[in-house]
Amino acid sequence: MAASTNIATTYGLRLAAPLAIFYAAFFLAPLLILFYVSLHVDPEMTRFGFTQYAKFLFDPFSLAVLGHTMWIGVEVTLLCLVLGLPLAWLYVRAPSWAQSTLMLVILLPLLTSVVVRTFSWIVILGRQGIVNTTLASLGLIDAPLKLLYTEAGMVVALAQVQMPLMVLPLITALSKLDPSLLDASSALGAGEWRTFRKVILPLTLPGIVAGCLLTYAAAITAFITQTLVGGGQMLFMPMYIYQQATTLSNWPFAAAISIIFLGAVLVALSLFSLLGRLSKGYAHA
Amino acid sequence: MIADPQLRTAQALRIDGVSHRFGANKALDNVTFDVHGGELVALLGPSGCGKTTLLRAIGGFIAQSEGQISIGGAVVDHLPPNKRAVGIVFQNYALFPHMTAAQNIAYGLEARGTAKAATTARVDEMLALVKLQNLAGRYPKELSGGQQQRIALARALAVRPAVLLLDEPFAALDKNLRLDMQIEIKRIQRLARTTTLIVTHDQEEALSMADRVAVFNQGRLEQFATPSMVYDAPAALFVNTFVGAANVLHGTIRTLDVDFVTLTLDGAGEICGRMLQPVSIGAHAVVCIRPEHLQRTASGLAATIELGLPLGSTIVYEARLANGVAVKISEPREAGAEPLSPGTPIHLAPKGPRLATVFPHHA
Ligand SMILES: Nc1ncnc2c1ncn2[C@@H]1O[C@H](COP(=O)(O)OP(=O)(O)OP(=O)(O)O)[C@@H](O)[C@H]1O
Ligand SMILES: [Mg+2]
Repeated sequence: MAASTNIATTYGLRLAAPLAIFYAAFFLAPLLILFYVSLHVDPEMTRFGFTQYAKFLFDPFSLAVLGHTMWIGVEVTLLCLVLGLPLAWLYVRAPSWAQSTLMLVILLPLLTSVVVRTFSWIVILGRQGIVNTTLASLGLIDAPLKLLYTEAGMVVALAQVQMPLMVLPLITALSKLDPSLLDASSALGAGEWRTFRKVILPLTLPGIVAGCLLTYAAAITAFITQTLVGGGQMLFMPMYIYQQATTLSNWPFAAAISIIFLGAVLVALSLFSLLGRLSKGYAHA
Repeated sequence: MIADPQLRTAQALRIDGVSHRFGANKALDNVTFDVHGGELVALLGPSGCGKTTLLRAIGGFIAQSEGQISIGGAVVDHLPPNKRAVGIVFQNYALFPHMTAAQNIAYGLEARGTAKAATTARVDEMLALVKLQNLAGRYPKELSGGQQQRIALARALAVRPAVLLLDEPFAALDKNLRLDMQIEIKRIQRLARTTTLIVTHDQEEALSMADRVAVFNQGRLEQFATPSMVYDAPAALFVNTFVGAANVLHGTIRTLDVDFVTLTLDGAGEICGRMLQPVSIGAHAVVCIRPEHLQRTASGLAATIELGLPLGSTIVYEARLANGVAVKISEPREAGAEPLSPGTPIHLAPKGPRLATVFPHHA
């Protein structure tokens, strides 16, 4: 038994080697370089020091950008969860011929280019866009609403783009749910809401956590959608880093805020997965 | 427990002309029967005959295409499962994997808004009933199949259902555990006086546990009677061959009496039997005789022994009639007796005319 386990492990490690090398060369090494760059005091990178970090952490404007970015992620994740859960439920309950169509619809955001998707949202949300012209022709509004370049518009666009990342893990979790558990709950006198809260929710929590992790991480780093649909008025971390690096050529500061952003994201994600670990006890169902 | 004033057990169940179609396929065909309060009824039948469909209709998980179901005299067709007071134990138990045994049992009580103290007391009572007090804190995956099943039973009984439905509850258990659980369920069911329907493939199980047996075939109820009646006086050819072993012989009706007919077997002689459905002289018919109801006699159907199997207290013979049809005979074995050797000529007759049943044959 022990011998065979050993063999399996050796093979496993050897097979993983190409991936490990890839990660080391294109992920770990750049990260180390980034960290090295961030430790410089001046943009010309002549002296070492932690001043870049101090500059960010004591600057209310920078902290606000970080906070706003993290908050946008929460909003997008919640919206995806609220819309994604019924969608995933619909998929799991649909007859198989409808499932393939639904899956195509669910995956569509992943199959279109980010730029095309984002420009579609500009068309939809613009002053003369689909939403405004529809509302106007229905007589519901007199003047076009400002939808584009608003936080709400951007959250909706981000949610659409990230939706598959939420829905796919949810579908996996829901289809693992034994339908007889729902029948059992009902036969024991529980209404639908109670069954949802006491049976469906706890048993699909690992899937929900996975979906939230993916959506959150993708939403706060979605540079193109944030920039194009959000417009110039709102500044988020990816754009902030980009500006510092390319427009202002302040590489050490850009590197430092990248590291800080990375740290903040890691903290947020560990909070999520802590939730997941709490539910691990019964994730096997 | 029996003194409980709120006891809603011992409620009669009435199935009235219930049919159910899945598309073109008729899973239930005009099924009607009455179950008395506190009775244990076994639903017996081959795979796909509609047993689960009937349970699901009673539980409210599907709405039958036609007919009515009433519990305790009240029609329940419009009620969702959570309003029907029907307890169900699924074939796979369907225990909530994220809850302990005790939490599983408490689930239905909490859903009904039972006070905490009363819930705890009832959970303890149910754990004692299924003799699993020491496993209250275990999760389902930490329980054996038999223990899971007892928890599932306790969970269904905790809310005092008017009717308890068990869908092949013993399918996953080995033979010893199965017997233990059959006795256990029977004991619990007696004690709680819960009207119970138990689905099974296993005829021994049905005959030994049930007060009455409902035999199904292709969605139709073929017979609904006590186990002895089903065995001794089968109402249909299907029941006769499905429940217990039976020799089926083909022939033509020669004489007709009030209840009895004489049948000429194709090239093997004559036999007298009890007639259940009207037949006419000259009609084709089949006669069923159980192996233990055939005896060796001086006269009767001529046959030749092919094989004799001494099975402890009985000997089972396989013999061939003059027309080449094989029949089985089972007779008690005296101490020291050896079976007749193959090739021995014998004569066979039913032990009594009531023990051979004649059914019309629809070719
Ligand atoms: N959801 C369904 N859709 C279509 N047909 C179904 C469905 N459920 C059952 N059937 C059909 O209805 C008939 C009765 O099925 P049912 O499950 O009641 O049989 P059963 O007596 O419980 O069989 P088993 O002993 O194998 O469990 C079968 O022919 C089955 O194929
Ligand atoms: Mg079944």
